[in-house]
Amino acid sequence: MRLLPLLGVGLWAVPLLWNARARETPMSHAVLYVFGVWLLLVVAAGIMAVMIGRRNSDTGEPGEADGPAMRF
Amino acid sequence: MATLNVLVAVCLAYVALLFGVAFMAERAALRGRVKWLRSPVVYTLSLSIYCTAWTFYGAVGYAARSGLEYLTIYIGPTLIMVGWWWVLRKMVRVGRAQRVTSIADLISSRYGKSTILAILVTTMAVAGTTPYIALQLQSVTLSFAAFAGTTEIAGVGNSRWTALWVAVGLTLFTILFGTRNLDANERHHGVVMAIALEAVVKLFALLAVGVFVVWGMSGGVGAMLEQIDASDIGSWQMQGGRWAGLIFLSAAAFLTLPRMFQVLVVENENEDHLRLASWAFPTYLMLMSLFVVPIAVVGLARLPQGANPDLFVLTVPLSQGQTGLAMLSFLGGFSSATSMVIVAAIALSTMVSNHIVMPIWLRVAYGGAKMSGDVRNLVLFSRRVAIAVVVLMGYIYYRFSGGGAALAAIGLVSFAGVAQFLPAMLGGLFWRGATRTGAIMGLITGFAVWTWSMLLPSFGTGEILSPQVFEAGPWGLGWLRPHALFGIDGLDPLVHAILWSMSLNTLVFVAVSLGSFPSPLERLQGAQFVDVFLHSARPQSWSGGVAQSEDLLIMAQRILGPIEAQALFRRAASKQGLVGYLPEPVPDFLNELERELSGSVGAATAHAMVGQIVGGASVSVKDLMAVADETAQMMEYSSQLEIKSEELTRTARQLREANEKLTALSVQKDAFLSQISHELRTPMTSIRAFSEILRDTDGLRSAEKAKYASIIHDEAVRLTRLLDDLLDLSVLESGQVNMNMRRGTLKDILDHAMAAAGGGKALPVQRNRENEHIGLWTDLDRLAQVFINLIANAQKYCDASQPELRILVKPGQAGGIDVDFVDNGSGIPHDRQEMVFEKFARVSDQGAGGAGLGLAICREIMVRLGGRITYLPGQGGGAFRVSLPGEALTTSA
Repeated sequence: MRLLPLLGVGLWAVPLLWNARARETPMSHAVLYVFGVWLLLVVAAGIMAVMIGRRNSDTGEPGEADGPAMRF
Repeated sequence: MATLNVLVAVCLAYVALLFGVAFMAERAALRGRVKWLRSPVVYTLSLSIYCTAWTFYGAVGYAARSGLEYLTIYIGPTLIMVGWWWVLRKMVRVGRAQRVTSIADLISSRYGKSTILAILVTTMAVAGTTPYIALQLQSVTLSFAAFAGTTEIAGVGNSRWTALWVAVGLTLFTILFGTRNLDANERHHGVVMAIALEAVVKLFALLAVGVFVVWGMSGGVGAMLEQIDASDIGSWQMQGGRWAGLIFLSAAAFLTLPRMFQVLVVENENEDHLRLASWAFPTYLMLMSLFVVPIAVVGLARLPQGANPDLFVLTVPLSQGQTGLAMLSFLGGFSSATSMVIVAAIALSTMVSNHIVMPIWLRVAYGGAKMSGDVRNLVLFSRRVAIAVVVLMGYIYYRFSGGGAALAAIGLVSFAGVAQFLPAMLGGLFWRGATRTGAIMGLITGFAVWTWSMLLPSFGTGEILSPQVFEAGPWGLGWLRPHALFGIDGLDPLVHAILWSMSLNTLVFVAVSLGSFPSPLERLQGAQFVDVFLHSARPQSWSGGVAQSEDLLIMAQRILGPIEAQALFRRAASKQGLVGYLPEPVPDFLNELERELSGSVGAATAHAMVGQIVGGASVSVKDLMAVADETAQMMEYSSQLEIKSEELTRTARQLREANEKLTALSVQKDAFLSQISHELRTPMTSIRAFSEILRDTDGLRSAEKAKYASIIHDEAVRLTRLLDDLLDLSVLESGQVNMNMRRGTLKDILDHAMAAAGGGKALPVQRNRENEHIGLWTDLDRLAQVFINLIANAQKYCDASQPELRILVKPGQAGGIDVDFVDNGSGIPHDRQEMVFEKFARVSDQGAGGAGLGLAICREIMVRLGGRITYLPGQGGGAFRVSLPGEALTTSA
């Protein structure tokens, strides 16, 4: 969970290295790469959110929720 | 022109829809259906005010000019949301625990509720946000002009009017739904619902245009990608510094923008909502940015040279004759602009009224907190004025900056300005050693560097700073050149400004914090903020004991409103085992009160107001325990002792009071016996005397006989009444009475009571008859008896030169109603308030008569009817409250 933003920073820092290459990176590749990372992060964050929700409701820790923990 | 008219019509219909949605949401919230209004989905959608018109229109323009750099603006917030566990969770928890109302409130509250810091942050936020509002107005007018088919230059005259109308409309909407009430939590259901709707509209609009461009114009994804590579922006050209710097900047701004803070923290209903938002909001951002490049590429290829790329979202569909689609996209841009302005205006107006207007008012009005009168109107009024001023400033900025390119860069300038709050805020949340002086110095340094290297140059070379300054620095000091501070040249101006302002800001903040010493209150607040997950209850800081509960009640009524304040005081009193509205001013209660007040006027002001009455705060042993861990156990032991002894003192005081009351009762009883003997003897004596005259005197004239007989009769009636009262009371007390339950309305009972008590002649009575149409199912005669008694009492005892009685009907506890009888006399002295409902109690010895049974009977009647009657202190006169239970109300009158 805590490592997710670090992963994001790492992956999104990769484009910084492209400038060093001799041949230019085509725009379409760049677009696909950036949005690919984005999708990965979103899915990972979604899975984390569901897991935390389960853990909270299993241990009975309400997490200040005023009802049963919401599942998504 | 036909399409323009349609556009205006659509636009007005859309605005009407927004008003409708906001209105319905407010209604639903009033009826208590908050649950679905505050679902995590709505929370997530409301975060989308991050996407303003600058991102809606500007992203495409940005992409057309600089390729993928626009993505940085979305990537920063994505990282923050994905990493919510680190920062956001803590921010929201602190915000809720401390009832924070704005980012200025958060920072000032963390650093010892400092007023200076609050004013500083507020000023900076206003300075940083005004250009941004101007940008929104500009985008709406530009898109309007694009539709009207006029060129930007030719349309300047018209666009001024458009901007003005938009500004006026936004001000109205914000004032209407943003300042409806002084909610203790600063939550605005209507506004949030409206911006959630706008979020859906703008996403849908942008996706629709994107789908049209990719599949309708370019023939699918594959063809689109080829077209992208073949275009002007077909290759990756990115300065590494800008890429990293902008991601950092947008992440920082996401946390510190006043409007983002408003939706992220202040409007947050439940910490749990962050979980959905942690992945759903990044998805929203991703979708918002997905079609930006295709739109930019198609716009560059199909539209004539020199077309404004900022308007491609609008002009591409227009050029294809897709008026409907263009209209949708106009609504999307309109939504982006309006929701940003609304929330920003609310956030700024809260800050201005809480941190600038209220402190000044507190200082100007000497001893202000104790004065009577409602202060809520002042707060609401100042917020309304602040909203109007903020939007007006945006408009003025728009007029004088002349629109155009100068504004395009303003978005980032504004981001960098508010990002200066970041060190003070994060330092406050994660580092106990951060001090107030450090925060102030850091903020000033960062802001100064930002102004010099970013804000002033943003107006253009030669506007405010002359070219020489850029070349050689001010007064020839080369190391102060705005774009090359300390002689380090060759950096991108933006990266340069961010680097220097943020690093100097942080450096000064840390260095001064290490070198200065925090005050005890700062230390306490620091521990509260940093360890918010360890102990969410906050330690005490009021010495208490000397405060006057009645003064506190008077003050609280003016800020929270009479109903809420009285409910709060009653709750606190019953928690302490006391009856009535005046709890003991123990530290627990004072802190709860301060927290409630800070929800309305901000932490610093609330602290100052309570301080004016209580007479200063002190840090007790228990508080320090939270800070110092090492001797925790010893401290805990001694603090427990302290609490115990405090409790004992309080119990002793309560016992003493009870004892005093008993003694007083006994004295009263003795007094009553002599009183009652006297009361019985006086009429008896005159009856005996006159009947003897009648018996023994011969030759009385018939007129004299009649006179004496009527005296005897009157005295007998008086005796009967006295005996009736006594009998009535004893029947009521023994519970052997049958209530005669009937239907009726409150209005009729009050009318009847007023007529029976001699109408409004003896004493003018103010009533609000509209509120009195309440159906009742109760013993109408008994209730009328209570009312008659209260009105008659006011007639007898109100000692004002122009006596007057107000009868107020309000919703009460647990679905019941309260009927208050408030006169303008001197009221009942504090030490007699507990006695008035006892039998034979009389407040004054001044003639007025009566055996002192009336209120005792009233109390018994109300108990039998399931309600109660209480004395209301702090109303500026004698005041009695008759509370009827919910069961006594019927729906039909």
